[in-house]
Amino acid sequence: MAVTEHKTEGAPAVTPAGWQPKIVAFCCNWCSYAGADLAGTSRLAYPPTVRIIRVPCSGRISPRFVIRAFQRGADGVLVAGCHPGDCHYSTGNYYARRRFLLARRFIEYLGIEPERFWVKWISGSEGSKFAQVMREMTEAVTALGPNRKVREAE
Amino acid sequence: MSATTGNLQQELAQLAEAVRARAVELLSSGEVSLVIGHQRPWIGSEAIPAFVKASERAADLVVGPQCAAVLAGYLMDEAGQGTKVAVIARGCDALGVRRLIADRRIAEEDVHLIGLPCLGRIDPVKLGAAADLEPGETVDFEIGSGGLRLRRAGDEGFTDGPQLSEVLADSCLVCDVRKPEGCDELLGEELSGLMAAATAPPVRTMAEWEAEVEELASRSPDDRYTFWAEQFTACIRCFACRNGCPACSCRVCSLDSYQPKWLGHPTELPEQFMFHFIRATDVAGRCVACGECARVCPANLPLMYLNLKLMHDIRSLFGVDRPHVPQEIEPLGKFESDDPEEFM
Repeated sequence: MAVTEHKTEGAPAVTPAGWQPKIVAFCCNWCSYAGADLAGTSRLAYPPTVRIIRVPCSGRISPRFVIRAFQRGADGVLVAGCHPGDCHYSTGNYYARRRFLLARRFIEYLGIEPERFWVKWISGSEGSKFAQVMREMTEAVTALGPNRKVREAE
Repeated sequence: MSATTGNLQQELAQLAEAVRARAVELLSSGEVSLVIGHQRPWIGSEAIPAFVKASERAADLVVGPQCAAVLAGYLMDEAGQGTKVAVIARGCDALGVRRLIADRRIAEEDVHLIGLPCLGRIDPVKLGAAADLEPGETVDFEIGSGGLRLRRAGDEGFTDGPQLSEVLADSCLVCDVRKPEGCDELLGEELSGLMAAATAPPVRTMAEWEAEVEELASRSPDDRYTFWAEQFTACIRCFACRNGCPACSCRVCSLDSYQPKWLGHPTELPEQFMFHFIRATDVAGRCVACGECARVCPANLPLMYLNLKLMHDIRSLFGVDRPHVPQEIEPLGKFESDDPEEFM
């Protein structure tokens, strides 16, 4: 039936050997992007699966960005921002927290595996946490294989 | 007809008379320039929206379970023209109007809400199934002693049909505002049968309805995805759910924008997911649970299952008791520093 055909259209039906996931990370400029930077300058090893998109604040991220990332070929999506209380704009991450508490449940409800969509607070001094999150996420998404849901044909 | 329910049909007629009289008063005194209500349809049995500008047309106004559309959305075009607009408001209409006022789409002083006790709206799909109607067949009904009484085309008189609660729309089954809240005036307070019906507990609780959502949420991710993919495949992207919604009221909609372009080829499944995701999440925390999106859907998609899931989570995560009732600041427009923390 058309539905099942669609599910496999955007990605290979069988996971190729040596396949690595594509992970899109929306990182806020002030904390998480700096954290990723620190992971790099500290020469911490983490899998080269992540594509970082820098945004001014986690409050800038609309839940629809997550669906768009999956549409365009992401196998996993991370939203990362400052810890509560640390937002450069004082409160942006508090709004983001409410929004993504809902959005995570909703994305899951539509059938996307919860392991594919993560939200994490990563501060500018947490280079090691950034590397750790990327390792854990890559492992979880690799175990699931390529994402086929809501993914556009290439 | 027995005394109790026979009265309901009579009381509805009395209520309709009161509505017409009030409309004449408001129009002829010049207090309002327009009364939005319902009128008999040209075809079918669902009453359609009526826009009454002259008092002699007030006789067209009808009330009752055949009144279909939620009227709030029309105020986006009709309010703010310099004169007041009156709306014949059931609970859902009133919630929708308050939604538009809270969202600063219309001004409170531009609207006059005439509240009515409501028995709920008949869902024509359910009525068709319960009364074994042919597709497209229409039927007249009245509220009799043992439930609805129906008269098919060509029938002499009315015969017994299903209970009203069997054929009410899903959103009406759980409605807790059948006696509307926040209106400028309330008609029908002397009609004891109607008021009793409107203030009785809902046929079922919101929690019972949400249990259906919970059942869906408890399936495996692949099953859930297949469920929604099958639903969304039927969507013809007519945007009726967006256009009828009192919460989805941006004058310039991001779904119509070319840059950034959020929606592409209409029938691709990824686009369908995007559309329904955006529609549901953009009204999260502001949905008034009127069910208009599901009512107007030509594919009969269970759109309230999307809204309900969000409402359920808003209630459980943020402790909002009645998420469908408009507040000054909505749950997603504010925060508490001790909101649940899952992202450490």
